[in-house]
This record gives sequence, C-alpha cells and structure tokens, in this order.
Amino acid sequence: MSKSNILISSYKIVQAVIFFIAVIIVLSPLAPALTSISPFKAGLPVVNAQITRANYFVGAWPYQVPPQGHFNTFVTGAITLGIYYDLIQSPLGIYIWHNNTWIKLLASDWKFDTSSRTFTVKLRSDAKWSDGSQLTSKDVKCTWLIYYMLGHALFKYVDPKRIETPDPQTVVFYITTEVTPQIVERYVIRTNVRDYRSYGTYCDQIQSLLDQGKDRLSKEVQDLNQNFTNYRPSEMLASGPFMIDVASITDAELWLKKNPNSPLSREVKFDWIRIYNGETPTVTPLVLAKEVDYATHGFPIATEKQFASIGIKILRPPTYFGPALYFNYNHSVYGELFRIKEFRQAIAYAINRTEAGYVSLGESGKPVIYMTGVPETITLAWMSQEDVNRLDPYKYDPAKAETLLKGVGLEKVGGTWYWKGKPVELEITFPAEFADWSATADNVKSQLEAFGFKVTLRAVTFTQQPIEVQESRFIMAIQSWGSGVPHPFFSYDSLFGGYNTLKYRGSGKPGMSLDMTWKTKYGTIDFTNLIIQMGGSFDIQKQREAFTKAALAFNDFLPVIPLWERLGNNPVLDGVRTCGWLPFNDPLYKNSVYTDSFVVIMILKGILYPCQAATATQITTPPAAPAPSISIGLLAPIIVIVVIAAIAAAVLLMRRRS
Amino acid sequence: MKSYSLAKIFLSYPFIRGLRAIAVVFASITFTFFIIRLMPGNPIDVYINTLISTYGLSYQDAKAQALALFSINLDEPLYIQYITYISNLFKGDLGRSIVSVGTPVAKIIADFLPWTVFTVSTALLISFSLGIVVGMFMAYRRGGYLDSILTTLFSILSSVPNFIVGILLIVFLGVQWKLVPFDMLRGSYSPYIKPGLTVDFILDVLKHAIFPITTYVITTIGIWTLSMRGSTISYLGEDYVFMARARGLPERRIAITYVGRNAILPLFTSLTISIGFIFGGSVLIESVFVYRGIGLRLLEAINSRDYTVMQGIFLIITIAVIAANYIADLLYSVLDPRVRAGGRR
Repeated sequence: MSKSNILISSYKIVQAVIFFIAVIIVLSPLAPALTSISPFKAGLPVVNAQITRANYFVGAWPYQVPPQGHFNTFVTGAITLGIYYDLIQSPLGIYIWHNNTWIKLLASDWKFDTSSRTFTVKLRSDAKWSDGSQLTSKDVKCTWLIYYMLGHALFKYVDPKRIETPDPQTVVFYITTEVTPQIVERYVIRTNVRDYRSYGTYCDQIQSLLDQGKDRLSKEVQDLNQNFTNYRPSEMLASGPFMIDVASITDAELWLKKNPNSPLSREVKFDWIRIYNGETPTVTPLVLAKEVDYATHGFPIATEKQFASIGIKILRPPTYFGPALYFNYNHSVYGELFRIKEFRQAIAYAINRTEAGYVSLGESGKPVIYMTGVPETITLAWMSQEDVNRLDPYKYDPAKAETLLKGVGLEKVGGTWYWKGKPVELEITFPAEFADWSATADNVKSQLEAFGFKVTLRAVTFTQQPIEVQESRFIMAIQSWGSGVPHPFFSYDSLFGGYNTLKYRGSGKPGMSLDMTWKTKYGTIDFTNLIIQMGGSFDIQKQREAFTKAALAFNDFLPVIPLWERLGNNPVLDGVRTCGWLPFNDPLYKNSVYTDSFVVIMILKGILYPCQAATATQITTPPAAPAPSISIGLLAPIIVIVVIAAIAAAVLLMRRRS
Repeated sequence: MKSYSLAKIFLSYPFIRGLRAIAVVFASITFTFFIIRLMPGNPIDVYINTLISTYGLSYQDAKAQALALFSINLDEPLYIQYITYISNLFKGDLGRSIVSVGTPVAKIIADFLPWTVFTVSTALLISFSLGIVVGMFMAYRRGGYLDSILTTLFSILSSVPNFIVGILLIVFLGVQWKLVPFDMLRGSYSPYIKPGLTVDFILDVLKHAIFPITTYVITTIGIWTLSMRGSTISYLGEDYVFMARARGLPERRIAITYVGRNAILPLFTSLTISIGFIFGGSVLIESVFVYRGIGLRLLEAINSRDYTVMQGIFLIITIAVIAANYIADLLYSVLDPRVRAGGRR
C-alpha cells in the first residue's frame, strides 16, 4: 500500500471516530433526561403556565443538589439553606441581641424552674405543619430524641429519658446538672423543630431503647444512628412561613413558596423567596447584576467597593467571631518561649490590629478592643464598666513590646530578635481559601518582620488547617475566636474545646497544649473551672462573677491573641425588589448575621416587603397546555436506530479502507 | 488447530494491549486508593472537629459518633481497607459517599456524568471541526496578515485559563451588557422544567449548555487550529501535492482530498486522548457556571475528603483515559503496522 493510500484510508478511521463523537453528542442530551435528577420530583406534577412573580425576595446560599442534597435535616448534605432554614422549619423562638429578649415563634411561653429543675415550653396552639397537621409537643420531643442519638450537648444537662409531653402544647425537660438557664434556653428555643411524621419511626425506636436502659453509645443506638443517616425523607414539612418548592430545585437556584398553614405567614409580605445556589465567586456576578437582594457571603474589599459604586448598600452586622493568633505551647523549639506570658503580650503590642483588620476586610475588619476572648458586645453586656476599665487594650506600641521582650531575655541584634543565641524564626499556618484570613496572616507576617522576627507563612487548605492545629502540627496559626451565641461560655468553650481539647476536656487532640492553670497578675487561675462556673450555675450573678474573672485573666494571660472581629459586608439591594430595610444603625442589626438573622426577623415581621415598582420576573415553566413532547415510546426506537446507524457507518468506513 | 487459534488470539496485538490496559487500570486504582489516603486530613477528623466545636462533645464521644455515622473505619489497617475496596469494586459496588452519608457513589456518578460528557464532547467536536477548517485556511494563507492575526489570537486563547474566559463571559454578557439573562448563565436546566424526554427539557438543557460549551471551545480551539496549520503546511510541500497540481486538479480538491485528509492524521492521537478526558470534565468551568457535572462533584469531594466519591470519579476518569489510549493504539496499529511489532508474528 502506497503512503498516500495509507493516509487516505486512515482518514476514514478518523472520520469514524469523529462520527462516534457526534453520536455521543446527539445522545448525551438525552442521557440527562433519562437520569433521575431529583428523587423528590418523582410523581410530582409539572408546574404549568408562565408564572409572573413580583412579590419575591432574592437571597443566596450554597446547597447540594440531589442525590447528595436531601431532606434529612439532621445529617450532612441536607438542603437547609442556612439562615433561611428558620423560615422553613422554624425554631421556637429567635433572639434579639441588643435587648436580650426573644421573639416567640412556635412557642408561646417557656420557663426555667430551678426548684423543680425543669425547663417547660408551651407551644402556640395554632402552630401547624404545611400538610395541615397540628405541630405538637410530640414533634419537639421527637426532634430532641434524634438529637440525643446524634450527641447534642443539651444532654450534658438534660435527661433524655425525661422529656415529658403532658399535653399537645407542653414539653418539659428535666435538668440533671446545674446549668446556666440561658444555655438550656438557647439550645431548646433556638433549635429548629422537625416533624414527627417524617422522623417518628426513629424517635419511637430511640424512646424504646432508652426505656430498655440503652444509652447513646450503646451498640443498638449506634446501629440505629447509622441506619438513620441513610434515611431520606421524600419531603420537608414546613412549620414556618415558607416551604421548599421541590419542583424548582436546580443546581443554580430554588424557590421557597409561602406556607399558608403556618401562623407565622400572617405578617409576611412576600409570597416567594428565590435562593441562588453558590459560594462567593458564583454569587458575585449575581449581586453585581442586581439579581440578589441580600447576601451573607464574605466579599473581597475590591468587590465590595464595586457593589457600592453601583448603588448597592453594604451592611456591616457583627458575626461575633474573627481570626486570632494561636501558639503551640508544646512546640519543640518555641514552646518554651510561647509559654512566657510577656512574650505573648509583646506580640500583642507589636501587631497593629487596626491595620490587620483593615487590610483583610476593609471596614468590616473591626480591631479587637477588649482582648477578653469574647466579642465586644457580649463583654460589655456581662462586665461592669469598672471591670472593663481594668482591661488592657494592648494598643499598638512596639516600644513597649521591645521592653517586654528584653525583659524576658530576648535580644535584638541587627534588627532581628534572638532568643538563646538564635534568631527567632516563626511560622504561621492559615486556611488558604479564606481570603480575609490569608490577608491577615500576610499582614501579621509583615508587621512581625518589621518588628524583628523572621516569619514564614504556610497555607493549608481550609478543611485541613483546623486539624493541623488540633494535632499540634503548627508553630503559630490563624484560627477563629468568638462565638455567635450571646453567652460568654460559648466563646471560651468553643475556643478551648476546639483547639486545646486534651487539656480542657481531659481527652482528645492536644491542639495548643496549653495548661489551663494560669499564673496571672490576678493570681493563679483555673480557667477550666471558671468556664464551668460560667456555664454551670443557675445563678446569673455567679455567672457574671465567673466571666469577669475569666475575662480579666484572659486579658492578662493572652492564651491566644484575638486580632479582629469580622463584621459582615453584606450587599443590600434596597428599593428594587425589596423595600423596608431598617436604617443601618437600627439596633436589630446587632443580631449575629448567621445565628439570629435580622433579615429572617424582618421577613417574619413584615418589615421587608416587595416594592411597588418591583420588576416582575417570568418564571420559565412549561406552558399551561401540555408541552409538545416526544414520548419515550417514540424516542426509544429513534435512539436505537441512530446507534445502529452509527455503528454500521463506522464499520462500513472501517471496511472500506481495505 | 483450535489451540493454534487460541494462541493466535492470545498473541494478537489487541489482546496483549488489552491485558496491558487492564493492568494499568488496576495499578491506577491501587495508586489512587493509597494516594487519596496519603492526603492530609480525612472526613472523620473534619466531622469530629465539627462535633467538638458545635456540640461540645468530648473527643471520644465525637469520634464514636463519627465512626458510627460514616460507616467507615479509617483506623483499620490500610491493607484491610484496600482489600475491602477492591472486593467491593469487583462486585460493582463503588461504596457510599462518606460526607453525604448513605448516598451511593454509583448514583452520584450516574446522575452527574452524562452532563459532563454532553458539554465536553460537544465542545470537543465543535472545537476540533472548527480548528481543522480554520487551521487549513491559515496554512493556505501562511505569512499573510490574516494568518499572523489568527496565529496570535489562537496562541493567546489557548493560553488563557478556561475559568477566566467563563468569568468574562458572565461579567460582560450577564452583568455589564445584560445581553444574556442569568437563567442561561447558571445551572444546567431551569426551575420547574420536569426532567424527561421532552422537547422542552432538551431545548432547555441546550440553552443552558451554550456558555459552558462556548468556554470550552474558545479555550481549546487554538490548539487544534495551530496544530492543523502546522500539519497542513508540512503536507503542502509533499511530492504528491505537486503532482496533483501538475495534473491540473482543482485546488479545492487538492486541499480537501490530498492535503486536508492527510494533515488531519497527526491530530488523531490528541483527539482520541481528548475523548478520554471528556469524562473528567472541567472542575472550573462547571464551578463558574454552577453547571451540573462530575468535575464539580470531584472538587467538592476533594475539599471534604470524601474518599469514596473521589475514588469513584477517579476510577471513571482512569478507565476512560486508558480505554481511549487503548482504542488509539489499536487504530494506530491499523494505520501503521510497525506499531504492532511483537504483536503479530
């Protein structure tokens, strides 16, 4: 065969390959059609007609689509939609931070009785699920039995065998260990109530196992737990003013529609809520295009400025957490140095926290003032002004830092700090994907280098970095401080429980490996004991005293250095689709962005409403008349014919080459 | 006689090459299994961390909880985990997602893979077809203004990361100029469209696929075009092309039958291997357009250390690439008998 003949006949093979690709392409759009995209959609009627929706609110939250996304809201992967979940399966109440009160949602009243050691909740009598059934104490009890199986912290204080439901509107929790009422109240009232109809089978089994004397760690309960994680309810009943419109769920967005059965719907002005799926990069263009009314994502400063330039307002509510500088007290080289209190204080003086916050998140990076390990609002609410005045604010003061370091034996030679004759070379790990925390790490590095330390940065993926800290595989690290719960106990408990677990709880990962007995200028303090006192007392005065001692000790000892508190930089599109935003200095915005959302409250209370001049949107739906469709019966032979023709053509082409 | 036929089959090039492909698949599966476990962190640690910080559980309680929940014991010796994995694989069981607890990996792949195959293969066909046409055109106009401009343009396009192109399309078409509604720039189909074999659904799918496909095409067409241009130029100087011209054949016929058909052959290997990579999709394009696909699932699985999902997706990609290579080898053995050296005696 001549060269040209080989080449020409080979071309036939290429033709055949391309033809095959073409066949794949022709068939591949049909393949998605044949896959079961949503288990929820089976048997659902197609929503018909071109619907025009004007009275809707647009938010954004990341969620997973089926099959990974599902409606078992107790386990990972559930489509709960973050802050908007409170509008679907509502909690008993929602907290107002600025005046320490609750808005009652599904509960009409609750009471903590220290004498009988009970916490009693009364449900509102008109509370209903979206299927029209009554929401009762059975639903609340069921919710908590499941949480018991999952290991909820409430059961450190409450007896799971004694959650009593004397009538359909009353639930009584029996307290086993002395505890701050606010903790039990926070857990019980703020937890979203699930329906017995969906989870009753499991609740009954848990109750039965409890009656048999089995506890959460027994094999029977653990087996049930494993079985439960595979459970996928076909729908999510709603008690709140909205329910998920399952026919609308796509990878890009979903819609919540009004739940007419919920008493909470009465004041709500919107009929629909549109939720765009996605993290910051994919939500940013939507905000820029004014397609989103409100978003809680963390936007870079440049993006934020662009929002502002096109008339989108930026709201800066507190999140009650932020980045802090952590030390590894057991590090082979620098553990000894880190254990010197004055060294940590010097570091605090050497870092300009205002600068660190600003370069990281602009105006939303609020520098920490009180250095108590607890967010400013909570510190001020729990301490007297006199005690607050005793706190050292650690204002940027490199000279004072130098004095402190020299006082503990460090030397500055040629602009570099030496300890035991060697230059101090530190390393800071940080979560690589968090743009603001990465900027913080970079800024802290620059500041410490300018001050005379050699610093290198190590970026670790965000899922792994906390584990690196827990496993003590770090020298210094950027990790979180604070908590979006309005009781100081939670800030300390999460900090030391998360990153000093072994020394704090007596078991678990070593983390910072910090001994919890501290020598401070206020004397030797058992900090674990103070945290327990803060959370384990019926008496609010005792809690305040414990917190004051803890805050002063923390401020002096500085086990970690809180750098700045993250305020949200939430874009608010006012007056396009949604009107009624409260002035940005309204105290309601003291509420935590994520844990007691003020937007949820404003929707629930009818403060936000659709603007008169709202632009209606056409929802792409099939027309009212049945859409012209090709039935599977007709398509099947077509597909078969196309496949056979493709194969035949390819074979013919192959044969013709010879 | 029969044993002679069997021996002939066993010694044939396709058989030997097939065995080699199977061995490579097996080796890749093994390699992937261990590499994944060498990654720092695992889903159980991540979950334990969440339980401790969210629920305030002790480490032991949190660990017991996590082990029960994830139905996987990563404390087991690695070889036991490996044997379990391989034996399940032979039974066709890819396992269940560790993070979205209880969801079968096979179901995740079956649900998401067709979307990726659809967009990437369509884009491949379009960019390949356009690339060979434009490449030939440029070769015939080599040295001219148009050739220079297009060569520069395609060099730039092939070096721009695809997610940048995707973001630019969204920003300019959706945000700045508002030429395209966001419904078309996000997702793989519209809300309320019931998935099924209906004209509406298929048209809706096509509508949503336009921009992911366009992005793939823009960022891959340069390679095909420049390769075809180079290949065509090399064939334009062949003797048989001069002979065809000397015989007075029309230039169009020479271009298509004599030059184009031959010039396309060197691109063949790349095309075949690209078909294998169709199954891997593009993590970034699917992410930018929030497009349903296997690439995005892989990214999520890596971030959450969802071992079973990662293994399942890597398995599919591995098999696809190795199968594509196998097919390329076989076809090349037809094109060039020298490739079969040792395969046919």
